[in-house]
Amino acid sequence: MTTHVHLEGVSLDYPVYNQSSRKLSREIIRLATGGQLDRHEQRRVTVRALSDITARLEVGDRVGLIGHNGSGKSTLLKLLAGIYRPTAGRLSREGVVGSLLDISLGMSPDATGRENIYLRGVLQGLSRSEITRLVPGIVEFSGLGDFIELPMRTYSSGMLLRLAFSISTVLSPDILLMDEWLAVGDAEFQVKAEERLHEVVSRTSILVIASHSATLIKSQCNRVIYLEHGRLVADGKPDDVLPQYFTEHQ
Amino acid sequence: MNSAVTLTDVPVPPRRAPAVWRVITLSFYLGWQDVRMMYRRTVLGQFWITISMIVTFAAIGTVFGFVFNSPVIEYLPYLGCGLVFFNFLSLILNDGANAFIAAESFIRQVALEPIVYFLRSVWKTFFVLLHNALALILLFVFFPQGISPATLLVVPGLVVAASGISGLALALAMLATRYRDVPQIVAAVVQVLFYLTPIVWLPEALPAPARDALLTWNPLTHMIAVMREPLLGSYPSPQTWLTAVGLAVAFVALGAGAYALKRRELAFWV
Repeated sequence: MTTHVHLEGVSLDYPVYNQSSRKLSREIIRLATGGQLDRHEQRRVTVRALSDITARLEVGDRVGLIGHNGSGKSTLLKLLAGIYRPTAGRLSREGVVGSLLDISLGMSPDATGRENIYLRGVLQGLSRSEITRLVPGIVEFSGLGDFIELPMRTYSSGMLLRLAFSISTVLSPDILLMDEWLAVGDAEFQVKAEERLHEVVSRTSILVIASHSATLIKSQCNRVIYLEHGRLVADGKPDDVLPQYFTEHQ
Repeated sequence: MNSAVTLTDVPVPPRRAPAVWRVITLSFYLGWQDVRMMYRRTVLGQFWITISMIVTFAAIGTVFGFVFNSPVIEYLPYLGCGLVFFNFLSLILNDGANAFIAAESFIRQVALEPIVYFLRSVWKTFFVLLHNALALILLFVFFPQGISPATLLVVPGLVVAASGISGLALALAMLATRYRDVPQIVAAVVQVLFYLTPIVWLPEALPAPARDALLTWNPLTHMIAVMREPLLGSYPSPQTWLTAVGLAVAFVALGAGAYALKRRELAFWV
């Protein structure tokens, strides 16, 4: 099977648990009163985050996701990553998914930089022996030197991100998910990081990146999906779709 | 190219290792890291677990040894085993029930089977048990119980009790993620169970009706018995085994069922 992501009529309803519906006492009262008391409150509040999305992403697709805040871009990325399942419709996906959505997740301030490479690495699906092989390269790329043996809480925020970036970009997934382009570190590191990121992106079969930058999408993408209120408004070439979004809101 | 990592020799991630094995090794590693991080920057590290258990032995042992007027050589090993095993099971329940809630940011960001975070908590508790076992060994050096074939039964006893209580904890963890009152309820019930289970008190000290009720209907009594009695040199009765195994099977089925049915909703619940 070749790498692909196919969405057919995919919808995602997000249940919202407010204070009252989350409380057990509510359910007990309901049981005790035979369900009479708050029949109305039982109607669960749901938010339709994605609505009837159909799209076929194939090898070579470089997809830019555009839309306002709350239009469903992040939800769609999480759906593609396998974190959420569609509540309606079909999602079929083939290929290893890698995401650069939260690159410092799972790192612990009390652990040393070296230990954090392992913590982050295992969450990315690497085995410990694979990580051991990659450690020297990661340390060198991060430019942290001897700091790698110190607890991460001694790092500046820039150092922390450099380490997180160096670990997260050693993967070479079939499907790469990003939320905006990653820019980390000082000027010198940014050049290196940029190069590394381009390398990862060029290796991946399918790229999906959510962004608010027309320049970024023009330079990286060959396809744009425009979401509004969880619906797919447009799907096509950047030159055709970008103006719809950007002229509308200037 | 100034990057030292050439991406070509990076193996393409997951899908090679069997999923179950990955879940076990990943949770094992995360659990071990948790125990280490708990005592970072302390001189004695995780051996604080051992030390605080020894202090508890000494304190409760002295006071209640007098109360029950029982010889220290018999009472202390009984108390020690009871405390260590109760501590183990209660931590599985309390920490386990909170496992998904504590892993909220992970569940929302990483596409891993959420059971990893539950097993991480169980492993963490197991490592705490190992440190407490050191305190027990020390106790047995001073108050030898003798080693007999019965001693070996502590291993199956541990497996039965740990898996059974973990099954129950998994079901509670699912419930707790959806209904946030549950961890409080679990904590309160576990605290009461400490007094209702023969750990500090000796069954002989109670009048028969109360004793029989507590020994029969409290699941923890049986779960602790299958671990404690072998260490004290006796064979748990077939009835005790049967009850413990029966409960374990039922609890594991309950936990596995709840997880299988609702695991996809966890990302919405956290």
